[in-house]
Amino acid sequence: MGSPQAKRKRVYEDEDEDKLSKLPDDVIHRILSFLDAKQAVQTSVLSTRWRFVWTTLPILNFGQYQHSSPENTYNFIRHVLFNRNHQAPVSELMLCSAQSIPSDSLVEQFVDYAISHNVECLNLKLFYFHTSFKLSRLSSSSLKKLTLQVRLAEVGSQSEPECWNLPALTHLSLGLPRGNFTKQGLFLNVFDKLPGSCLTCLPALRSLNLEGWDLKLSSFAFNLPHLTTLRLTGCRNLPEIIWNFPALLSLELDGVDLPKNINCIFTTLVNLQNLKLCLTRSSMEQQHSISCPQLLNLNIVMLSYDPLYGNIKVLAPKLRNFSCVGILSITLEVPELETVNIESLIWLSREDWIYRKKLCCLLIDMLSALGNAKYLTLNLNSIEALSATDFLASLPSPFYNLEFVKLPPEYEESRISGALRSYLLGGSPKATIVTTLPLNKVNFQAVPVSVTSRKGDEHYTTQSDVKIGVYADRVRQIGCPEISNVRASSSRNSDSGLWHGHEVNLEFVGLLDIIMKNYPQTFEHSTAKSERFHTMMLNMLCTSVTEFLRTSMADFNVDIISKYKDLFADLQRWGFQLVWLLSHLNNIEQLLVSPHELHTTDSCVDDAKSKLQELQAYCLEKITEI
Amino acid sequence: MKKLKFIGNPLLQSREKINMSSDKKWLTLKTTEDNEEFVVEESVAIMSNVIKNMVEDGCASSVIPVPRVKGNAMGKIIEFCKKHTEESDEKVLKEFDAEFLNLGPDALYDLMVSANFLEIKVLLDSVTTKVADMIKGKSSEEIRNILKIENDLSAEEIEESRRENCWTRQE
Repeated sequence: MGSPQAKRKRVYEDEDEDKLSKLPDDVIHRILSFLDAKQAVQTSVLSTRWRFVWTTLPILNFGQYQHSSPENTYNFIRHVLFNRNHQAPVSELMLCSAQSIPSDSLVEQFVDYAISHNVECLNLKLFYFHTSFKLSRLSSSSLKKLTLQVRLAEVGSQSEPECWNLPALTHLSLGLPRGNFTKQGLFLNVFDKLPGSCLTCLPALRSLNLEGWDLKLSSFAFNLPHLTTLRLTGCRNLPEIIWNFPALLSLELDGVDLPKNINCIFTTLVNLQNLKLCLTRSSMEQQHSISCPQLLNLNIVMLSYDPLYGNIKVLAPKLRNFSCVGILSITLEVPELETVNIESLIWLSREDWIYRKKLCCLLIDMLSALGNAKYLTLNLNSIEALSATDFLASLPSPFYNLEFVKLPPEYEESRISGALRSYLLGGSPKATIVTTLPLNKVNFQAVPVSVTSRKGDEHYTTQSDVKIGVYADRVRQIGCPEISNVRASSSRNSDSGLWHGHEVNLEFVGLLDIIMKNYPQTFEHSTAKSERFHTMMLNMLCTSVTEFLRTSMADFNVDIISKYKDLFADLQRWGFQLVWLLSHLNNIEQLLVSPHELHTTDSCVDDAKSKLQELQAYCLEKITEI
Repeated sequence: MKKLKFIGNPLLQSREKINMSSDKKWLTLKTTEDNEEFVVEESVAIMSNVIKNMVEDGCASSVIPVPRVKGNAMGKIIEFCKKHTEESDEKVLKEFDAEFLNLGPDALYDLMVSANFLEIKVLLDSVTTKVADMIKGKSSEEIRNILKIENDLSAEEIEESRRENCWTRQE
């Protein structure tokens, strides 16, 4: 049992130490929240530490339990609800059940329990036929997110309308139970009507998601002043009144028949930034016009494969990103367009050549409307449709602003025909074909990112590393004032080049080479904590040097000289050896500080001149003498 | 005295860059346990709510002391935060997370404690999801092995717990 063995044993014990049990309860709760409630409860046998953690778990997720009988499931859920710590709040409660729970009242008890324990997020999905749910049961002042796939009680002809009171609710998602089976197992294909009162008494609602409802009774309820996100999937009878959603940012209409006045509705959504339309065949048989002043992202998906006859007109002065799955007839007035993504759905499986020709023409027309795109993405079908267009060679390129064209990875660049290449790239000198778009250039931001306010740049400190911002300010101050009047160049990162393994701005590579050649000692001791730092240092050095060299003699004065002295001193502190630069500066200083030297030179010259005149006079005398 | 020629006109573009980079503030985070210093951009550091509050309240000087977090955990955390501020593509981030979190339970524990203390929600969620995935569907014996949990319950206690929680071995 010598000491190295003992040491080894100790290390082994350390590695085996039960660190996870030392975690605080709320971290363990987070872990358990990703597990089903059954497994969470099962952790009670792991150790004493874990025995009662489940009783305070605020997130209860009851899954489908397909292998248990309904009675067992029922018992288990009851047990958990009654035996957990009642002081502990329930923040999230999820029940997703495909079996018919023996007692309908269990679901009600479940909901009541959650509400009485300040639930914030409730998720209830029942895939069997059950009696309709009463809305008033769901009144809660703490509930923020509600997802229901249950049958809701319709507004009956009786007394008061059913209504709930959810002042804190921000996210609401209502769908119908997917399998509408009765107890006898018959399948019902019912579009339940959404009770209009569902959409009232929701003052804080931000996000609404309705799936599979008949909205005939809800027309008056399309009036939610704070709503920012709306998604309607597979619904019928969308109200034809003007929807009142002044704050709406994102709208998705998926597989719904668009109401006749949808064009007007679009114009009233003045703040809309993201629009996604999944168009059914019947929707497309009309003309549509999308006119939204703030629209940034437009995404159109054709749910039907046939080239359709309607036309969509898009008037969106700020639109940046356009994506289309399917080919349609579209006209666009989108001066700010940047990103275009075209996915054609079907190509080779249709052999009818008339159909194919029609498709090609439509695609060409569509692309000709997208001329100002910068980044174009095409899928395999679109590329093949283009390649097969026989008149492609005679067409000029509709694009004049392209920078990158992204092709699907399975389509090798060598397969691109000359005609296709000139069609795509012919009008844009800078364009190239890539397989992945550079990420920082493509930006599908739904909502503009808010900029955090900065606390003033005047926070100067004395520590030598770090303060790039301070340094930059000083460089700015030294420079010539007329520079600020010149229009700023593009804010994108300019090209960078490699210099001795460091990435610097391209224009500095030459300068750095010159410095290296003439004054190699400059870079001997430069240190930096990180590569990016070092790059910034090199860029700073170059900028300072070029600025210094640019300043004409006439512009130098005492102030500027001292500022440059500080600058170079800083650079020295960061490790650059700049004696040569400082001696230049000193020379200039000398000249400025001692202007009388010029006078002495002048006086010397004057002396010389007068001496010369004397000599000339003397010579003249002598000549006349002779 | 002849005028010195200036080289090209890098000034305008580089001035733009300086203007941009002057918007980048840098912070130094110093782990007080082992005195390691890390220089990070402010935009990366404020992924931690704790640091964000300090910066917004103005009580962060350039060096922020961070107790209770060890140097190597801090390094990993910064790497994670950097990647998450730079990338917006979800797929890429998911792949990065999967590889990043390929660690043993001890390291995951360190990350969890630090992320919890520094209030970095994204990191905490990723690590806890990973741990949950490690134990999903496993029997209690297997869970004990994976997470290195010491079983200090007596056989009766285990039986009692099982009975209480209406749970048989098969389910």
